[in-house]
Amino acid sequence: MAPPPHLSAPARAPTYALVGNPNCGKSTLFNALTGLKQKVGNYPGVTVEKKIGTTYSQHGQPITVIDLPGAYSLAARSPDEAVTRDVLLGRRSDTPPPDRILCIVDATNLERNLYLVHQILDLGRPVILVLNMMDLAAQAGLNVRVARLEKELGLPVIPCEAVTGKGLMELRLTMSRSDLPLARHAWNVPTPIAPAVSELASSLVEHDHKLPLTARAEALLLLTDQDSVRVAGSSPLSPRTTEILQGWQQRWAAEGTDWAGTLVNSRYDAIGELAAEVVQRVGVAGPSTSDRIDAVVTHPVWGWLVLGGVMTLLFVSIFTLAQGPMDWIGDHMAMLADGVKAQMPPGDLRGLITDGAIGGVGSIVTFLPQILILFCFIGLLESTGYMARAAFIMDRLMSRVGLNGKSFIPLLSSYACAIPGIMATRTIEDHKDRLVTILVAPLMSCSARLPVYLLMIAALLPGDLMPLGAKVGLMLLMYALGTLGAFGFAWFFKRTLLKGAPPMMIMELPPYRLPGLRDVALQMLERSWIFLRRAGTVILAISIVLWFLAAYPKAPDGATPTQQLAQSFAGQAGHLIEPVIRPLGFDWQIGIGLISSFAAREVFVSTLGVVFNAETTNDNTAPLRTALLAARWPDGRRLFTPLVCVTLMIFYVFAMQCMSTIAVVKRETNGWKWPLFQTLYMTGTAWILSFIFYQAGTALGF
Amino acid sequence: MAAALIKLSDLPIGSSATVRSFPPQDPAFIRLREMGLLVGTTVTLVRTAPLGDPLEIKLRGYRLTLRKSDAAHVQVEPTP
Amino acid sequence: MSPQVQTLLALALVALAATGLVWRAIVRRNHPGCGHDCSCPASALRPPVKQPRRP
Repeated sequence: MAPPPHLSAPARAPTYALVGNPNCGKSTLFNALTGLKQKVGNYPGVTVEKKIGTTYSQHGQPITVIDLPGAYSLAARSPDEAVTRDVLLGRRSDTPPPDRILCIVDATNLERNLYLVHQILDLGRPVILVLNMMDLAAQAGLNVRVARLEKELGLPVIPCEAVTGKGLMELRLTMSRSDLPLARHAWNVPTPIAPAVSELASSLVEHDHKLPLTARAEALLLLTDQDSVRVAGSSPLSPRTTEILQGWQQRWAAEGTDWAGTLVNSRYDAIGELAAEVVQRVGVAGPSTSDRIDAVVTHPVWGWLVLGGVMTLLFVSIFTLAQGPMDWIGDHMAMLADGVKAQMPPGDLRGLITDGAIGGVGSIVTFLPQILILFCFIGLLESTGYMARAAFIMDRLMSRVGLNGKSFIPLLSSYACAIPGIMATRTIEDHKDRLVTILVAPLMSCSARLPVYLLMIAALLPGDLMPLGAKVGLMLLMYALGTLGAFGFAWFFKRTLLKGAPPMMIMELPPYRLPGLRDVALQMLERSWIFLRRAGTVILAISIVLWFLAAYPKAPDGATPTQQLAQSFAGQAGHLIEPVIRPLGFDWQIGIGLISSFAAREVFVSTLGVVFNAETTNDNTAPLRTALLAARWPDGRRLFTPLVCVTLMIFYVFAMQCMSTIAVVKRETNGWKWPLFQTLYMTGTAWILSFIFYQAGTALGF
Repeated sequence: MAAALIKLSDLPIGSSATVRSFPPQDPAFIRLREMGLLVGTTVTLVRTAPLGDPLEIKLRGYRLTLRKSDAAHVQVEPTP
Repeated sequence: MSPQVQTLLALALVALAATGLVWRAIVRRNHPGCGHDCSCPASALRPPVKQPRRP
């Protein structure tokens, strides 16, 4: 079959799509080619949306590269796989169909990886095959004969190690070629199915306006997956095509032909013959390092200890390792404020700088060390391959709740931030399960809650009276509370709003890899940059505006700072909601913090920084913690009693206070219904639980 | 074909078997086949999760996890 | 710096900050998504191309 000449030599610089199974190193290769810093990790669901970058040919010509989510098959079963399928089939309005395809396969696991390649060869576009992880294949005792593979498939095959950059030169050289051969695709559709494929393909071209080039591939997809509507994208099939499809299916059902199975088998038969030629097993590999690690990590006893140990270690280091840098930052922020106070006469601008800008931003920035430690741990877990093990261990519990282990990975990611967690739900096949996971993901304590928890724990007792164990324990308790809440609500939603059978759980357990220290460091750097940038822009602006709201309208001369704050705009707003939060033990000043933290949770800390800084008159800036301990109700009672501190923490565990998350949920669920519901149920639960806790605590005499 | 067929979920830990039959035309099982679990494929049951479910199986050089309830639909012939 | 000048400058800064926040909100409205807050992809998941249906 000779290809039309325009296909092999496009006039403009060609666009390449990067395609492969999950975890085969697409994003690592994409980063190496484009110099971008796309997030990588050793678990399925790191990339759930296409990402476009530019690389340069050996002559310096730009080549567009599209990184796509990993997929096992073009017969997509989850939204992330659908992204890949739709880009390749030219169904996306925002992405032109790629001219050429870079297929990345994991050399350690050639057969399963070649299944997707086999489907992609049906698309009739030039393909370059990248054999990634050749080093790991050699370690596993596999010898992949590259030249043989190249000859059998009739397309360029480039052995490569994306992590070290080995083979990149050759790849770039091949990508720059103006002519690329079309693969010799010798696969014949099995006889009972072949007539159906050609009939469906011509009907797809005629009645569904599919490109003739991809019509055969589309027809094969219709036959591989039962759910033809989902495969056809958003537009349903034309009546004629549906009729043909159903006609064939009925005929096969009567004959007892397992058409989808036959198709899969036939592809694997072809692959099996190829693999037998190409892969040589040299030497027998004993139990791998992965096996030995798994024997401990997924052990009935040790497994739980490892899980608990990692969590405890995380929180202990948050309290111990971070203390020094945190004090250093806090001291310097205070010095900065005092310096400004010494240089400037009292006035509004001085107040804005010291109380607003430094008070607000400074109180948040002190938590940078803790955020870094959290992301270091999460980065290590993500890059080693532990995430998939966590899903494996937790699947049984998740099945009790009515979800599956795959939902646990987005939930784990949500400990960092709910947004990537919600994005990662695209790997979940079942629509209802995905929705339930999205609804409960923000209950997992994200990094923005960390400053709030830490501030409240610090304010619990004056001085350093709290033993480390109690601090760590309280922190673990908050994380456990959020996690239990997520499980509980998932159980509840699966039984009421979003009923459905427990879905099938099929998940690959990728081998452990040494953590890419560079990747972890890069991610930490990026996270701290995001954190600081947020502090320097949004939080700075909010703090300045808040300072104004707390300083205006001006009280008559001679008013105390507290009187001034009470009658300011912010104070009025705080007083307005005081009746609602009074039963939780919160006063109007905390109310100001609660209102402002609906923009983002950590704004609570900067708000308290502004509010309580504005109330101190002296020229020495006190740490926020001291200011909180000094805060009083009008009748002289302490405001931040231990009971109130814990109640506030419980409120923050459950309340939905993050505009960015609401925006993402709206986008992922295509409407306002679910984000609004989520905000209401979470904040409602937060209020009710805080109420119960505070009232019970008061009744017990705390 | 003298050997008795058992369910994949009943396979003892550490032993291998060859897949003999599969529920036809079930979309979920189509995915399992697309991942290389076919009639004639040799699988090894590596371990079960700490709570007894799901299973970790090894096939074609990689590891897959699936639940016992799903594995019960796959008939295998244990390798002696 | 006299208190009056300070007040004037402070109010100007507040106005600047408020404008910044409003402008951000508008930009967000036009480009829905979460920006780059939590290193999530910037481009939205749009529905696939609508193919014309035959009457």
